[in-house]
Amino acid sequence: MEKYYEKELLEELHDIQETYGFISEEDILRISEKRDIPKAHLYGVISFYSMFHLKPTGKYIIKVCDSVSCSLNHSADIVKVIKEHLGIGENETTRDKKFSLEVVECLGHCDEGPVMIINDTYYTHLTTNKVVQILDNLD
Amino acid sequence: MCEQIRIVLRNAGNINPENIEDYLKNDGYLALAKALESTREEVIDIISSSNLRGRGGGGFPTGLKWKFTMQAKGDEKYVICNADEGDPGAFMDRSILEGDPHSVLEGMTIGGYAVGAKKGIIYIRAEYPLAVERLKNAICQAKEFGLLGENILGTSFSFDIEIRLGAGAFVCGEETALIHSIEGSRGEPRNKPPFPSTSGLWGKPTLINNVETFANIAPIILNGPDWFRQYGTKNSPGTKVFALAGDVKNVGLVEVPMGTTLREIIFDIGGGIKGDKKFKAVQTGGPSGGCIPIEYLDTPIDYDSLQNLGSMMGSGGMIVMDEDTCMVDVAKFYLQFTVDESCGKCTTCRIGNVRLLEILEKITSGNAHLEDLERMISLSNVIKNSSLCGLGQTAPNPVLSTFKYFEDEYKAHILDRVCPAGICKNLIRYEVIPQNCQGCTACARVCPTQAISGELRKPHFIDQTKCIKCGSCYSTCRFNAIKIV
Repeated sequence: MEKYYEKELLEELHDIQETYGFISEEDILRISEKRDIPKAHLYGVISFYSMFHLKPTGKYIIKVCDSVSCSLNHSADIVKVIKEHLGIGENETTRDKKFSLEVVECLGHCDEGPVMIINDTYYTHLTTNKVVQILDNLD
Repeated sequence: MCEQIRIVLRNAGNINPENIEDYLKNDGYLALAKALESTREEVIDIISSSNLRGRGGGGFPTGLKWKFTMQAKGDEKYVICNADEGDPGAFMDRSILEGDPHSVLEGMTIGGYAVGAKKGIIYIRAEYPLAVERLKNAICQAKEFGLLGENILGTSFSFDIEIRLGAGAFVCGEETALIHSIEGSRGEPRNKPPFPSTSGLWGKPTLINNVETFANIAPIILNGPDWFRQYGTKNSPGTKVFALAGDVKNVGLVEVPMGTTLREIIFDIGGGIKGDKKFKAVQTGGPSGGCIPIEYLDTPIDYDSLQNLGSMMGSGGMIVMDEDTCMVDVAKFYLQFTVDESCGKCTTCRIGNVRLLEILEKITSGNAHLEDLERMISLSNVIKNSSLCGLGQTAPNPVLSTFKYFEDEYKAHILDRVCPAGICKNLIRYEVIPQNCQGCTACARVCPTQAISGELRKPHFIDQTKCIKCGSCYSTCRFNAIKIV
C-alpha cells in the first residue's frame, strides 16, 4: 500500500493524545517499532507540536488566547483569575487532574476577545466573573 | 464612503453551511461543471488572466503556480489547501470554512482538474473544531452528490479531499513546513527551490493555495477574468478579506476591493476608534507585518503598497491601535510571538529574535542606552537577511516598522525614561491629584499592597516604594484623581 493511505503519524499521535491525554513512553516505543522509525525522531516530532504532551494532562485543557487583540481586551486578567481560581500556573495541571492551563497564541476569534477554548468548546467575550462560572459549571 | 464587495464571502452568513443544496442554489458547483467542459489549459488561462494573487500573504500569481504544477512531470500530484491560519489577528479563513465550506472544496476540485491531481488535502489547525466539522460534513455531502470522488459529474475526472489536522505549530503555515508536517515530521521549512509545484508532498508535484485563494476560484471561472479584474487595482485585482480587530468600533470581517484605503476600512466601515480616542497605528500582516501610522492612512492598499510601507498584506489581519498603545510594547508583543513560534532551524531566527526581544525588554524597562538602538537595527537586518523561510525573514518587521514611524517613542523610553503611552510599568508612576481627590478611600481599599494612605474626606497619598503599578487605583477612582506620570 502506498504511504498516502496509511494513517499518517500526526493523525495517530492526535488519536493517542485525545484518548489518553498524553503520549506515553510505551506509545512511543510501540509506534517506533511499528513504523520502523527511531524513537528520537518521534520525540522530535512530539516536542515540536504544542498540542502533544509527554506528561498526563487534565480532563479539561484550558487554552487562553494571549495574542494581540485578546491582550488589548485584557486577556491577562482572565489568565490571572484562572490561576487564582484553580491554584495552578501556566502549563500545570490541578491535583485532581481535572484542569490543565495553557496560555496560547492566536485562536482566531479576534473579534470576540478575550477568548479561551476548553477541549473543543470556545468561550468568547470573557469577563473575570464569566470565567469562574464556566469553570465551576464543568463536571 | 466605500463599499464592501462580497466575492469570497458571497455566501457566508447567507446560506446554511451544513446543507449542500443551499450552496447549489447559489450557483454552487456550476463553475466546476464549466471547468470540466473546458480543457485544463483553458482553466489555467482563465485564472492566469484574472491575475489573481495568492491570498495567504505572499501575493504570488495563482495562475502561474497552477501552470507550473500542471507542467511538472509526475504520475501523481496533490492539491493542498493551507488552512493553518495562525497570524495574530486573522480569522478570515476560519470564517470562510465555517460559513461556506463548499466554496473551498469547489476551488480545490477545479484546481485538481487543472493541474492533473486526484487527491486534495486540507491542512487545518486543530484549534478550529467547528470548521473541521463543517468541512467533513461538506465533503460527505459533495460525495453523495457526485461532486467529489470517482467520475465527477459523469466525466472521467476523479478527485477526493481529505482533512489533516495541525498540532499547534504556527510555522506550519509555511508551505514546505506544512508538507513536512503532513509527512509526519517536525514542521520545519526547507530551502526552495525545488518549489512544491515540482517537488511537494511525498516528493510529488503539489499545488498549495490558501483558503481565500481557493474561495475566489469558482466566481472567476463562472464570470470570467474581465469581471474579476474590474475590482481592485491593476497589479492586485479582486477583493481582500480583512479581519478588523483591536480598538475599533466595528470589529469583524470586511471584504473590500484591493486599493481601498486604510482610512476607508477603519473609519468608514470600522466606524472609527472605540471611545472616540485618537487613532495611533494599524498593524497589518501579523508577526510578519508592521505598524502603519496616521500619515499613511490614505494609501490605497494592495500587496505592493503595504510592502513599501514596511508592512505586509499577510493573511489580512488588521489590528487597530489607539493613542493609549505603546509602540515599543507592541513590537515586543509580536516578537514574543516569533520567539515562541520559531521552529529553531535557523540560528538567526532562533537566537537572534531572543536577543532582539531582550533589547526591547531593556528599552521598556528603562535600562537601555542609545547604542542599543543601533544594535537592534543591525540585528534585525541580520535576521532578515539570513533566515531561511518567509517567517524568519519578516520576523523583525514589527520592530523595524515601529522604529521607523515612532522613533521618538523609542527614544523617550531611553533618554527620558518615560513611556509616553503610559503602558510600560517600569517607566510610569501613579500619583494622586490632590485637587480632585475626595478622600472616598476607594483606592486605598483596592490597593493590594496597602500603598495608599489618607484620612476620610482628605486627599490620599501613594507610597511609591510600596506601589506595584497594578493600576487598580486608577481604574477604581471615580473622580479622575489618579494620574499616570
